[in-house]
Amino acid sequence: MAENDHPEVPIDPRVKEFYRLAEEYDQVDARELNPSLHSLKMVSQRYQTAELIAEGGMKEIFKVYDARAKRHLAMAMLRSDAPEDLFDPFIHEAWLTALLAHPNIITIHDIGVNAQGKPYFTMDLKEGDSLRELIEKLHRGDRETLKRYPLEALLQIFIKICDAISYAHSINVLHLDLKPANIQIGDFGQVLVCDWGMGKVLGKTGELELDRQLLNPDLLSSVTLYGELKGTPGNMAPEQVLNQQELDVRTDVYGLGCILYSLLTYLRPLSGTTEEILQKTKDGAIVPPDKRTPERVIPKALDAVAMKALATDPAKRYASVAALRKEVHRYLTGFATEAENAGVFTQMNLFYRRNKRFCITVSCLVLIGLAGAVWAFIQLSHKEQAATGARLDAERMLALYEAGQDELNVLGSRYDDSVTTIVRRYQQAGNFMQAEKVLRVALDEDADNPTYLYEMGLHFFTMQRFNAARAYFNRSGIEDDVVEVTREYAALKADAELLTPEQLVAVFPRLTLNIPLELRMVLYDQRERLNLSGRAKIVKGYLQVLNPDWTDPVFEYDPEKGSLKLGGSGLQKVGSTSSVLAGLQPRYLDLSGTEIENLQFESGYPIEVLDISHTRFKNKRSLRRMIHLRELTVSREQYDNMNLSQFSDRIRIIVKD
Amino acid sequence: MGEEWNTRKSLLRRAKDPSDEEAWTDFVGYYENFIYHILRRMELNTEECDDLVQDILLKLWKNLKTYDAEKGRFRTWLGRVVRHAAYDYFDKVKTRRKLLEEERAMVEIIRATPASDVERLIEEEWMQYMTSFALERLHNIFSGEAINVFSLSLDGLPADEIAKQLNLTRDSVYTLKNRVKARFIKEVRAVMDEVEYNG
Repeated sequence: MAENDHPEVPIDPRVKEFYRLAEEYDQVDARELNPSLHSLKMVSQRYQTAELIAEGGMKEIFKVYDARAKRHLAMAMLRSDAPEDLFDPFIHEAWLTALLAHPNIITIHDIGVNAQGKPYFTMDLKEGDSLRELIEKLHRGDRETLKRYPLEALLQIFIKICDAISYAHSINVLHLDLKPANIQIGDFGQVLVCDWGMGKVLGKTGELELDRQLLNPDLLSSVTLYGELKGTPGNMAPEQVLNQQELDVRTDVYGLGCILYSLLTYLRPLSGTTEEILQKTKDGAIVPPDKRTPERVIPKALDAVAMKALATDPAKRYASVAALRKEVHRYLTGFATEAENAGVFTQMNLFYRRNKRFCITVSCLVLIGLAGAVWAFIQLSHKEQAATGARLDAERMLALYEAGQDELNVLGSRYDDSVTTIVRRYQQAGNFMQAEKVLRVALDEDADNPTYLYEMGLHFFTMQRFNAARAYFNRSGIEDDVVEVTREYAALKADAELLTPEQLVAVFPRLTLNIPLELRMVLYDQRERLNLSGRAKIVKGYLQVLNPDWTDPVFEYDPEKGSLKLGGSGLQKVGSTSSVLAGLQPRYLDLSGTEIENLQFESGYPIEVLDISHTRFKNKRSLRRMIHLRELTVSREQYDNMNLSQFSDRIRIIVKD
Repeated sequence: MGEEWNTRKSLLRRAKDPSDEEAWTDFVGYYENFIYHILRRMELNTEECDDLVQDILLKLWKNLKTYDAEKGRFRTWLGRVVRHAAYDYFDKVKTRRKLLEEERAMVEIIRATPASDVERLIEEEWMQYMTSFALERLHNIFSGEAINVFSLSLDGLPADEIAKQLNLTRDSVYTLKNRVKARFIKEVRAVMDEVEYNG
């Protein structure tokens, strides 16, 4: 009867109660099922709890709570007594800034008109100090700040400011009010150029096709929100004071020169009353940094760079921000700058400084190594002297520098490995105890050596022990992206715990092109992390860093079956020395259709089924090392080229067309 | 599948529409199964079961038009109509022919049970039936993993335990569970809107 004609709905008694929930569905809808949707819908007042944090000219900056995004932001508004003809320029400032998408330029989040009809815009809430406050602290001799911001760190900040301004110039935007007060420094090394209210769009259109209407120079005229003076006395270029010359990128070069000057001396370039300052600006009466603060040791090179940027005649300044940046960067990498006009002695001195680590390392080690270093020194200094004599231009200097490094590397491995190399080799092999021992010995000899301290920091960083790492990094005085990440993550977890896979993966893109370090991190992590799914997430993240073109990643991993399928275009590499894939213990590995050329598993790795069809794989030797392989899928071409028929007695070979 | 419920008119509105020739067929499709299901649950195993089902279906179809959502829940109403239809049927059969021994015993039992209990039983079965129906549809919407998480959570397993069993993180267990749960409620609601008359 019934059973035959009517297929029963399988009855699941567990779900009955949902009927009542569904009956209530209309009422509970948003609140219970999507509480976030509901609360977002309920936000009627987006910006709340305004708190005045800064005032400047006709502008007021409030700290507000953005109830939709659930975060604090800064909101800029005109003062309530601001005349209405400032509304448009105010909006133009916001539009101009919103056009500038650069990590070192403040981000505009929202531009709008409030209930009272007044314009406003919101932007990042600046945390930390402005560069002006920082310089004031340095001037006062604040020990903490002095320790944290040695000259190198300040110059790194300066480089970032240059990057931001270079970018703005590339789309024809001038800042025209560059001064330390307009640069925000975060606690983790963030540098933000703010206050583009004086900004101007150059009269010509550049290479970038931008919204013409928006960038119309007539629209964004040089109206300023700060009253009559278009700039800040003491930071204004002579052509701004004279107001008779067309402003261009070199005006910003002058502003950057002022900032560099202050970074070197902890003082403003000019002092006195406003009139005196303006007169001195016109006359170019700036005292060079090393004469202004003779008690401080100011590198001659940088003194010259700052003075060139501050030349009264724009034609005598650097022609672009990029040129100025290059000079400072050269100083940081230890080369004589053009402005310094270096002689032989300076060059030799710099050579020694650049290669100090090498020399010290070698002298700590074997005597033969020392002899080698002397030989290397002679060899290289010949080259350097020749270079000095010929007054090589910047590009050739850089090429030489790189060549010298290569040579040093070769020499290093010929006589003895440097401490760093040895340490990293141990880490790669998974012997972290030994790596640490070597570093401890090195530090016993030379406790304040920044290279060793930094390397010890890296060692703990690799092991995700960020608090330990931070201590060493701080002592080393080196500031870079690794140190930045360390500070942030140290606060996140205790050293004994591992990061979550997501947290670890988030570290990778923050380390600029440091694949070896990332590899060591993954390998260490795999030793400690037993959860295979977690490992898989990390491997995937690592592969994405390793293969930046892998835009449509396929990554299917089944830990129980031990199967792994990788796919998607742009996947070329799966690991360098020892494959990170080994950590996933795949027995079935499908790489078909990827651009992978090679696979390096340790010999005897238990991979059983492998599909490398339509890949670039053609290395027979690595196949031979997979002694557990019982099934192999290849393309016709691979089968022919690799002459795989000899394997067929042991392995089932499937040839795909 | 997921969109279907949005556009589909409720059965009752269709029942009122003379041009909708498939309304009856669809109505039978939904309710016939249910009525068989109830009769099975009541262990009502009469020779004339098919007739009984047809009779109840017809009564329901006719009465659907009189259902007033303002006066009570559909399921309560359904319980009452089905019970009445069944009683009427047995009264009718009794006058036409003698009931078999076992049929009579069964009818006695049903008669002896308070009407409200019978109605509640039908109502409960309806809820059961509708949710299970919606659950079947859910399999077409979610991956096996999401359904597994949901299913284990129905068994009362704590999130940690589910995470361990399915080799997932706790967070993804929560996410999957809540996602399926929310969608399921929506789906039950959709089935209700489609099959019941809710105004």
